[in-house]
Amino acid sequence: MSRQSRFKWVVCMMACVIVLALFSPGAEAIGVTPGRTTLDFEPGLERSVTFTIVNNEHLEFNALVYVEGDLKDHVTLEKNIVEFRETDNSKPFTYRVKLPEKIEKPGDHWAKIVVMQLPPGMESEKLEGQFVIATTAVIHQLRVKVPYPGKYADIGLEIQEAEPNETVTFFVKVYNLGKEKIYKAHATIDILGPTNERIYTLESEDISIEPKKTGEIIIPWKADVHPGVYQAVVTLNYDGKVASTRKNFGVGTLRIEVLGVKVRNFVLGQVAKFEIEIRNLWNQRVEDVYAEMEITNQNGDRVANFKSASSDIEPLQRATLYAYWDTEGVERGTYDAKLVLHYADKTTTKLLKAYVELESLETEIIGVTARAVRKKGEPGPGTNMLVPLVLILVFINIGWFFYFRRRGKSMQTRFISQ
Amino acid sequence: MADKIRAWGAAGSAAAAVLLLYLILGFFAIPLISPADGLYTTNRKPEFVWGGMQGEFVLFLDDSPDFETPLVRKVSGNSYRFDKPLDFGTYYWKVESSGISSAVRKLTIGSSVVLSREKNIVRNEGNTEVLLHRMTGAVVLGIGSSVEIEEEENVTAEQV
Repeated sequence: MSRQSRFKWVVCMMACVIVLALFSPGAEAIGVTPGRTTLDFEPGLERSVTFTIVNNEHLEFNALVYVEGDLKDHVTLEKNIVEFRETDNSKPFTYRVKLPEKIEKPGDHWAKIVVMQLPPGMESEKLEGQFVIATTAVIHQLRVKVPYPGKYADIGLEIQEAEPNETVTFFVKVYNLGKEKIYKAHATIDILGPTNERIYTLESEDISIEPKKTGEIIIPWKADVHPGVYQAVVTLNYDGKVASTRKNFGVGTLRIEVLGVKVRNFVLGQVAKFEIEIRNLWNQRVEDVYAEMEITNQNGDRVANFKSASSDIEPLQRATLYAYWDTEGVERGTYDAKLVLHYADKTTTKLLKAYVELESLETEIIGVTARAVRKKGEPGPGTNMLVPLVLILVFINIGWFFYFRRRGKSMQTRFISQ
Repeated sequence: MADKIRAWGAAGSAAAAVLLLYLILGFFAIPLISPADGLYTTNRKPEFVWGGMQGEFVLFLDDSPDFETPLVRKVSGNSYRFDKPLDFGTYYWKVESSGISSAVRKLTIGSSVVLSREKNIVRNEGNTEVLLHRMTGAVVLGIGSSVEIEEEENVTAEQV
């Protein structure tokens, strides 16, 4: 086979594989929007509700539609099978609801309209009898809210977070699910710190809410606290009754900052010990924090890449990470270093200059200058051994000098006497 | 006759004044660009865009057309997107600048429950957490999250 024909064969095979991959069944997708429709219960209420069945993947398939839930007998579907073609992006689907005159139990009642994607080629007439297929289905929920007797409130809490010393806003939604009007609703928000200690208490103004309506209470708070996670506990007092909810919220963002980088007692050719000083600005313990350092020379070639061990940093505390660089074979000069601090799926990056000399390694962080030089006169690693060795050698040499000098004199005396 | 002419003249002047005022206000009003009025979307972070001169604007968003308890954002520029996804529901929005207000537009953000399946991997492609009913029980599947299932397993998802 010539080289040209072999190339053509390979191209044909690749095209076949791509075509097979494109047309192979296997990927399915089905959706509905909205996922939920909510109605307030009214005796004998009749209504048409429309939702959309979504064919995101532009597939050709049939969707089987049926109803489940305690209100299923009060829902009539327009049809049970919806056909989709590749060109259909979505199709509306309408069903009819006729609620009973009375529902005994207050609260939420449901009809669930299940939309099931049938495998390609499966027709509606094939659905009779027993069959075993793997199906994917989504549900459009019809929620009917039946009011509670007397007064009954449910509350929801949304929090607009902010940076430290800015304003956090609490939105308390009060849903009147009772049959009676709420004349006076008053919210109290307790803000709890990381150890559940109460930091602040906020009070709202009074509002009134008609049945089936939603009232909203907005409470701003200036967050003059450290960055971190806090908890808001909302207590709603309404006409002698109480409802409560709680939610966590953040002030600022979780961040660990690099304060400085030092290398003490450095000798070129040996292992440099980087001391990376960091501070946890968050009000909670941050686990598994480690530093990664990449060093490149002036040509942009990577010289070294090393990591520190992981460490847990206590809230608002400083800590030091240690990373080691073996400088054997490294030449004197200026290097670029990138320090990346890894924590809680986040990173903090600092760029450094590293000035490597025979007995010093200085680092300079952009924005922060941290010089780390071995102090003059301060013994370097191994100097403790070197000094006595040198002294011993000096004494040996002096000994040899006197020995040969005396021996030389005695030899001279012997020659003279001979 | 003269009275009639005077009356017609006065009425005409008043109409002209109203028309002129309408044109002036229309000229200075802030034109809203997107989202379109009455839009239904499943995008929980829509971009609010308006026209007019560059400057400082205030965007108001509320679930009531009365704007009794709105979310308020000061914006330097002609567009804004909220950092956090908006809740599902119907909203009304408008923009103000130097005492001039735009018209009020309505926007509905709907939930979408979308499930994709490729062999034994099921993924939540919608804009809300879903409860995934499996043979072995139900699990909550976050937005964009996926879970491994049996290839022959039936699954059904609904909004949490």
